[in-house]
Amino acid sequence: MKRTILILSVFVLTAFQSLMAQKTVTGTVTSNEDSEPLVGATVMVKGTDIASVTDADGKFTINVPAGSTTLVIKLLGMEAKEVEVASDVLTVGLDQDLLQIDDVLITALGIPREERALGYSAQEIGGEDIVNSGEVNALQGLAAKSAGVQVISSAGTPGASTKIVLRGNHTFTGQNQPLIVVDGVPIDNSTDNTAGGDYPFNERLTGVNNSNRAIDINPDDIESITVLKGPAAASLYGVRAGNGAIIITTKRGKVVDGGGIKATYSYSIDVASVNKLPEFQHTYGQGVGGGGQSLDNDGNPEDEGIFDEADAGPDNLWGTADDVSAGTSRTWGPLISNIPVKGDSTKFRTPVDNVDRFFETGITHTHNVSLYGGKEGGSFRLSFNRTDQEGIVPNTKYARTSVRLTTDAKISEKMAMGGTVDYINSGGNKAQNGSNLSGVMLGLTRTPDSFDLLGGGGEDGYTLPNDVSQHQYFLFYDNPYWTAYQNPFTDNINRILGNIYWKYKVVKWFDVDAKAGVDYYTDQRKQIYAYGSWEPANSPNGQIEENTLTSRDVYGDLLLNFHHDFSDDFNGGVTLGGNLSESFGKNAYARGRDFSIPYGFNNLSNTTDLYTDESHAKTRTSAIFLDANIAYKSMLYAQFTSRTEWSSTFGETQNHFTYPSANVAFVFTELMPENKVLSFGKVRYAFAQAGISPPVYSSSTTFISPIFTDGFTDGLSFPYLGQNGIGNSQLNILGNPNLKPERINGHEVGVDLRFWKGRLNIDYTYYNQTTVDIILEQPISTSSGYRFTYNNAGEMVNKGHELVVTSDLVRVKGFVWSVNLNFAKNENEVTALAPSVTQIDLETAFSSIGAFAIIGEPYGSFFGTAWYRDDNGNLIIGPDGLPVENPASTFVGNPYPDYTMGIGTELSYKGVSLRALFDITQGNEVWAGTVARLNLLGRSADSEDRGRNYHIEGVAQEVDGNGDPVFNADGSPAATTTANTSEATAFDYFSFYEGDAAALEQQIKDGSWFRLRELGLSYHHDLPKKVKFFRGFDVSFSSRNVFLITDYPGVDPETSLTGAGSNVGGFDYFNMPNSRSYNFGIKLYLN
Amino acid sequence: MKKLIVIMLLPTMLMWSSCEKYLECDDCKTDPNNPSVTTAAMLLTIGQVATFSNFEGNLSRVPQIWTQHLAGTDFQYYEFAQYNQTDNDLENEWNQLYSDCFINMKLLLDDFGAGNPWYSGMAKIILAMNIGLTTDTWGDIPWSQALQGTENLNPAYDSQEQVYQTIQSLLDEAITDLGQPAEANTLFPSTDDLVYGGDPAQWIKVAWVLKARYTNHLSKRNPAASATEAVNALNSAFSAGLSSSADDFNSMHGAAGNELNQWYAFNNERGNYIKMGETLVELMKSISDPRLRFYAAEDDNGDYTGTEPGDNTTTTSNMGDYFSSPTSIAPIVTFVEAKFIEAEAKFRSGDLTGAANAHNAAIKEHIALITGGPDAAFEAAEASETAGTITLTKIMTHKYIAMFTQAEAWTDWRRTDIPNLTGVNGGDIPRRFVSSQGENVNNSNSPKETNLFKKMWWDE
Repeated sequence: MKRTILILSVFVLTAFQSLMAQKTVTGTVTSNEDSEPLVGATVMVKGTDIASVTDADGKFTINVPAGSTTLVIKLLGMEAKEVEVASDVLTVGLDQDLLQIDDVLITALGIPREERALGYSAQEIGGEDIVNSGEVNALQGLAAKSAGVQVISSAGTPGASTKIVLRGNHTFTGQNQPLIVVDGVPIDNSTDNTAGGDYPFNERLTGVNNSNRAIDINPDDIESITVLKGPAAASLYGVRAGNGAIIITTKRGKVVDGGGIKATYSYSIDVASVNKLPEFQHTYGQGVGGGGQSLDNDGNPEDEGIFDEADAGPDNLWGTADDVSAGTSRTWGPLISNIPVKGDSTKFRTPVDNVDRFFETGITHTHNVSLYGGKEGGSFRLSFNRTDQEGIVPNTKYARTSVRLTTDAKISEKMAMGGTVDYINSGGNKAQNGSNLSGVMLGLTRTPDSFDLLGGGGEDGYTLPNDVSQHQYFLFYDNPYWTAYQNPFTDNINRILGNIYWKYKVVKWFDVDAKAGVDYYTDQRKQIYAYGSWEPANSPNGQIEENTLTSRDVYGDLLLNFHHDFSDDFNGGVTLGGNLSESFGKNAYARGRDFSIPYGFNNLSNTTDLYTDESHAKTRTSAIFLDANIAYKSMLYAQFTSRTEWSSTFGETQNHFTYPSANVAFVFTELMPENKVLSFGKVRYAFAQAGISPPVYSSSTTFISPIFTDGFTDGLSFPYLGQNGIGNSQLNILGNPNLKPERINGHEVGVDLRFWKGRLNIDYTYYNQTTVDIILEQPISTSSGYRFTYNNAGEMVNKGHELVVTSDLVRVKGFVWSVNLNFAKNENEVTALAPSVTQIDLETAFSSIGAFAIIGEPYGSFFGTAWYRDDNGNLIIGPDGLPVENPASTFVGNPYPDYTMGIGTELSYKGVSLRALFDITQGNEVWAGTVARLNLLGRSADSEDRGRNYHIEGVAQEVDGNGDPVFNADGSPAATTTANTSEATAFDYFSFYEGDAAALEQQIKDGSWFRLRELGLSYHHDLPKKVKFFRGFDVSFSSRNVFLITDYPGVDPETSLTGAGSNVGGFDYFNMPNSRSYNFGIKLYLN
Repeated sequence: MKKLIVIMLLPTMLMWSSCEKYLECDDCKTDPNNPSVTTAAMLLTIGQVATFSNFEGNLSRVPQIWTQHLAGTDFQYYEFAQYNQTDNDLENEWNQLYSDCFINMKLLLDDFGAGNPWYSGMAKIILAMNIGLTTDTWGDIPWSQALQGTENLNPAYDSQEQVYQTIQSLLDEAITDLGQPAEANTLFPSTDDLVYGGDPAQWIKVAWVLKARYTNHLSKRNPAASATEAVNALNSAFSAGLSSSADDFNSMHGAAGNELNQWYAFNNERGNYIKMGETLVELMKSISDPRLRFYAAEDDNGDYTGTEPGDNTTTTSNMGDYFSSPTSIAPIVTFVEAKFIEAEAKFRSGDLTGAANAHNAAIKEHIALITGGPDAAFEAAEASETAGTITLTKIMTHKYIAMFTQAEAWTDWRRTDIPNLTGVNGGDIPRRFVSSQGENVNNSNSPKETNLFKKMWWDE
């Protein structure tokens, strides 16, 4: 997996080699384990830069100058060997190297360093591990593979975003995801939602599961991913990498013996289905008052059989004079078997499992073609990817086409250059998610089983006999089929990712390395809400949104590398550099409402109520940096870095900042006598600062258009009756010209132990990262006239442990059984906010629940109401049998896990390999908003048991002579010391205790899981040399999300309503489900 | 080694200077999306639209459930109907009052007030009516120390008594400002005044009615003086030309999705959350009130029914089209209210004839306004009071009917306990909202009131 990096570095080295050779030596390099030839081994003349690489047959040719007698043979994964040039033809056998301490990792700014020299932890994941995951989104493929990397999928629908957090959250309202760097150039990984500037709410709570833009990377192009978790590793990236960095190194061309071209073709088919849904009752039908389970105000059971069916009247059209009933959203009606068939009161209904029928089998086809080749002096790799995904929700899809060309050229002995250009077209069809009237899960799961969502009589079933109006249970939520087919969201991304490099070796101790890159894309989106859709509620006659996002990132850096050997024991290097970057983004939005031609013509010209807005933002940063390192023997390594950075988003008063870092690594085994057990041991310590930029334009206050809403309607906004309104608004944030960047001060210590020549490796890290000067959108008393001001006032600590264990338990005669474990425990605590502020809302959510930073609690905690309790912590139960809710909101839960663990194991023998990856996440809490609402609606399986009353444990509330509950002066219930004996009716129990009309506390559920994330069986076969065209093939079967064990009552608890673009975590409110899939793949190796 | 250092230093210095320079770019520092200036016209429009929203939103909707004009039957509104109101429920409203409405009116006064008395007067009236709404909802509120931005992040709460003085003096100043001649102005409100098209005379009438309203609110504190002052203020309103519902200060709406009447928008987006209240419907039925079919829509059975307080029956009537269609106006300060205030104040001061006349006029005006014409039978039964027959119960009961959709109805009930309402499960009916969560958290002076049943200063 690290071969390409090595080849690249070799390539650079060979560029500078001397041509003064005087003797030609040829030979073969083979593996001692199975005597197979080794491809790509480097053969170097010791003490010189002269090197060669073995070909497909393990053969090499090298010119050995007079006076040189020793060759050094190196190959990644094998132990290096030195051999005397005893003859002109040599055969060298290499042993497997399990230690791998001399492997080169790509660190910040693309600087390669040996693993043994690193004073901080960095973990590498091979490209094939990403491909094997079967994920379309490369970042999702990182799940459970690296300690301290939390991967959160928002849903199992095509193109849904994946969020990554390294070692916890570091800032409050800004970006908490790491910088994504591809071949040394940062790329955009934003997740944007489409909404008009007059949309008053957090658009992430609604809309579709948008993609995070790293989804555009073709997993098959990835050679390896290095995760730089802490500031020590990433500090050279300055204000862009406060949250760490994901360094992606892509595959490059290789020199092919004889100058030919080699090719691979792979194809896979992936079949997906829903992996987990909430459970439903199938017994009771629509309406309220059925089943005798609820009491009226006089304490008598309501009459059975009252139910309210949505009925648009004889014309079947809503909003016309003959409408009979709007229905009710609840399912507290009579037994379905007691509800007569509409139009025939002698027959009764049978339940229809709408939910089960709705989801489809999702199919993904992936094709990858790659060609590579080259001769001495240059090489190329050309790859083509096409992925076509059809989702588990009808009519959802995602497709990606990527064409990528990478070239490397050795211009002269001193100069090398190369570059990559990648064109990507991606996008698809998405369906509405979450809290909106078109939400698929909302319309689907709230509909009782007495109502057939496909019983509308129109051609498609979800429409009425007129074929253009929808058939629906409840007046206010779209039929999910209608949403899927009539309200599509399409996105179409055209993206160019390109980079070039230039390297020049001035003198032996000084070389120059320049790099530039551009990431440019347009994302064209169109959202249609057909005529007759409920969403948006204020436009019943249809809506079209056209949204174009343009993003341009330009990056360039220049590195001056100096190297000096002070003595045999001491050597050191200094890199001086500078970089410039610019980010530009533009969002153009146009909306039309009220179609003139009701159906079939989805163009803005067909609408009468038009609205547009635009916004753009540009930021620039520039920096100079220094990286100095010194090594003593192979034992003691020290590195010092410093970066001084200017950013256009810093305030006026301080326009530049400096971030230092230092780390040391001590290989203590160098001082120990050779021993068979401990082959390598290193302790390390690092300190570093990294920064996080203030938000763009936060240094000044401007006027904006207010939006007036109470949260229940879309409200009033401008232009209003032909008048514009720009002034102050509660959406305004008071600017602050004195803003500084946030700083992360990170300390980490670690130990790296490798036993029995690498058969067992243990790497442990403890870190403590404190973010200071966190910029708050500091909430201020709105009676001051403003709701927020920017302020550098927050402080937050992340500390934790990371453990990585890799082992080859069995390694005999080609049979290998390896087990790898990674474990991470991160503890986050918000330690300071602005003076007198004890909590802040991180991102607007619902009125009942917020994601908050609360002093003394973890970042992103759930904030909402809890039950009143007595001094002993007992619930205080009123005479109605229900606990009493405290109206004041408080901390009620933490969405982030106590620990995460991934356990991977692989059995391999002669090309056959069986691997499994277990993923354990413990202690993450989820707001089970869906299930709470389904309880309240009487749709959940739990609520089926409704023919009885429920007793809730607690103490009884005091009652007065009339039997009315007694309250204290502060509104809290007066508690007694006697145990509660009152019982709640089933309806009250599921509405006010287990429903979402209860205290929020009750709706927070444990989302811990144990899952078999990946299971795969693959076979690799090399064909005999004499076969033309084909070199070999791979066949693989795998499954993703094979099983999931969790107590969580809703969908897969790895879910996110708000997606990767949001700092809200753990919200589940009618989220799309996740998926399980089975994958079959073949790969052909062609000559 | 020295050479090495020199070689390393030179590019460093070069880069340092170029780094600084690189940041000087268009759109890097100055926000290209939002301006740093605004206009008097836009601020006035903002003040009005904010007022529409304040008076049509939860600050009226929730009290209307508590006064049993309406019933909260689903989700959060079923909670309100059980008298469960958390500190976060009315957060949007509190924020909207201070940082959408008040702050912009202050900006209008500070930046454009000098030399523009008409704009000043309008801004002050908008402030007075919204401050009135705020204090009648929460009691003590920040005012004299409010709206100072980061200068004062913990504004003290003025007592409700002080706030009432503030309202009266703002209105007095407004009347003076609006009485200035046109020549005293450099900027003239016109289409930006959505309600009156920039006519200062209309605003003066509103100011007098508001003066009467807030004076009359002190009926328990000072029955006699409040009656006299209210009548005086109304006399000034009438002599300023207040003569019919054509003078009403109503909210204005359009058919576009962002201009909708918010009762309509709410009922449209949140079906079944609120229904007609049984108390109001049954009261109107008992007197064969012709307005009922305008107030309420037919239920599933073609009848007009309301939901019992605290019940969640949703088979009852929705609000009718008169108040709940896309472009319905919503009454905020009306001639009918003025006549009812007159009736109540005159009754209190012993002018029973005046009280009966005002009472009869108010009802007739409202019947004509809502139903489009007079209703002789109804008026004979309900609007033919004399000095001998008029009672406070009759006045306040009819005002209760007429003030449908308005927060004022809650204040009237709290002051007079008319009509006699029974709370859910026989208990009390809330008399205020609990303190806003944002204030509890961010303003050390917040009273952190959690008791919904605590009486207002004017209610004690």
